[in-house]
Amino acid sequence: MALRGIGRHRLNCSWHLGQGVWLTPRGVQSRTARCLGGATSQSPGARATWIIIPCLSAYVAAVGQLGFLLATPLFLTAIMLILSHRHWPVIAGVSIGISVIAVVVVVGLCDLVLPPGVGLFADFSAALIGMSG
Amino acid sequence: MEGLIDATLTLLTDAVALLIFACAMGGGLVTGIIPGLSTTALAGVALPLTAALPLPYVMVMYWTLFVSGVAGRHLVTAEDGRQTASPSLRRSTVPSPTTLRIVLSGVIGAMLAVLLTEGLAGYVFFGFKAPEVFRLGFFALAVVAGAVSRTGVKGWLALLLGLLLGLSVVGPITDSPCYLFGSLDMLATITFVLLLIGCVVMPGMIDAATNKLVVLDSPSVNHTTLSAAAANAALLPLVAFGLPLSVGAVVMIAAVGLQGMEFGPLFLIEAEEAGWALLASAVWASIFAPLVGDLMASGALFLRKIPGSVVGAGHFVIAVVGVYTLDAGMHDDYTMLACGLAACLLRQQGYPLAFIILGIVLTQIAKPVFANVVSLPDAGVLEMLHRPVSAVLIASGLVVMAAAAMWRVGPPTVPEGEETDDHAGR
Repeated sequence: MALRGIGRHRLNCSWHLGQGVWLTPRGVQSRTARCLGGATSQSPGARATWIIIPCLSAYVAAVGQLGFLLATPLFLTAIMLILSHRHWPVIAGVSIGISVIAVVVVVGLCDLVLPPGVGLFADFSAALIGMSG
Repeated sequence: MEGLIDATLTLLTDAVALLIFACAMGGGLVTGIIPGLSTTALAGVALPLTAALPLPYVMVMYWTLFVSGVAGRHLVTAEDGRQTASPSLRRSTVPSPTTLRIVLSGVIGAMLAVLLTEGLAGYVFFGFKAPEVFRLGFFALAVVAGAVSRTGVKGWLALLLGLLLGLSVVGPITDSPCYLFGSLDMLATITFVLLLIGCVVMPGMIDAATNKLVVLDSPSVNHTTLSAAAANAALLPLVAFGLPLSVGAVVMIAAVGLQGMEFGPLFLIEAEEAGWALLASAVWASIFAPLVGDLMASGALFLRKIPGSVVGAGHFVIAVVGVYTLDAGMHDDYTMLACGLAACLLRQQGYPLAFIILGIVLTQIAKPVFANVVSLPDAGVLEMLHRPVSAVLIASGLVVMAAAAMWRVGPPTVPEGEETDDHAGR
């Protein structure tokens, strides 16, 4: 009974933002939009610039720490979510799929067909392998 | 012309060159169509990946990309016109008169470059000494200053910042900083390629993500026709003198610098194959890009629906991978990010980045020749004016600067809060 009361209290005070619950994607979108100064789901405001720049910085740091394979889908998903595209789950899913396919399959093929040091894009394939975490 | 025929035959018989030509043409056309993409940004993203490619392929790729980008911009206008045309005209696959005009103007510009570049480069090589080369740098600086004069104080400050950075940045012309400012720590300075990629990619990513470029007006036919001719005519100062007059030309200089080469009067001799490949790609891209673009105009509407944030994020991811390939280390990525952040802040405050980039390159061209001029025994302003070419170049530079300031030639002032596309690189 007491736990249910605490839950209701939290829901009323801070978790519920009027347009969705904080932990749901819609809640994250509306909260981000509020932080950006009233940016709506259709027209991200000019202040979106100030949330994209930290995202780009975080992505570069994440590539250094987690590797390209993990960091890129996270980055693409975060950008789609923050910019509140109507079809962001589809775009994020496709991005993650392409990223995984590109890194795993293409790099795998490069590794088999074009070992690092051979071919036109040898440096590129070697770098992709190196960045895959 | 012999070189042009040889380069054309190579382009047709070399499968890799042909593939690169086709991909660059497709990329340029798509770049012109999708809002938020610019050929300069795409060229900047591809810059690190070209380090492993042979120079002729790089030349073919870049110039085809730039020329096709201009044709791609025309597609937007063509498709808008086709939507309002009659059904019979809409189904027609015959190239429109406008497309033929763009082909003609592009070919005229390219042929001018083909016919004049070799002779002009020879004249510059044999006839120009240090004073003339310095005056040439002064002339280019005067042209840029004329464009700067319209953007007000911030434009001048951006150019001055570029001139200052040109003294302390490594590349694309010099291998080490010109001045250490009394500190050996300056030897560990940043490289120009990273600064260029940061300046081009990060603001482009933000523009694309926040959809600032979607509201671009479609260019007029006359503007596109002139752009097609001017894009190829820009080859003349680039190849014969080594002078860039646009951000796109700066990207070319950086790409050539990554291969250990340099544009200038000797380029057609030292890298003959690459030089003629560049000129041949200008001619053939001018012919094929507008025609191919006219055929794929119906797909333009579909491409314009791609969200700008996807394009921008994809750009940034490729840039990060590309920069990593330069030295197989993350420190280059961090440097690129820092340069990009600085570029975003500067642009947010209204400083035009194109002038910073042009200022860096022009400093590195003019400074070493200026040192040579000063070390001459008869050095002096009046003595320099006695040399006819020097005097003509100085007078032309001053006239261009005054005319541009008086008649408001150059990019318009961007009102605060509004953004326009960067036409400098197109």
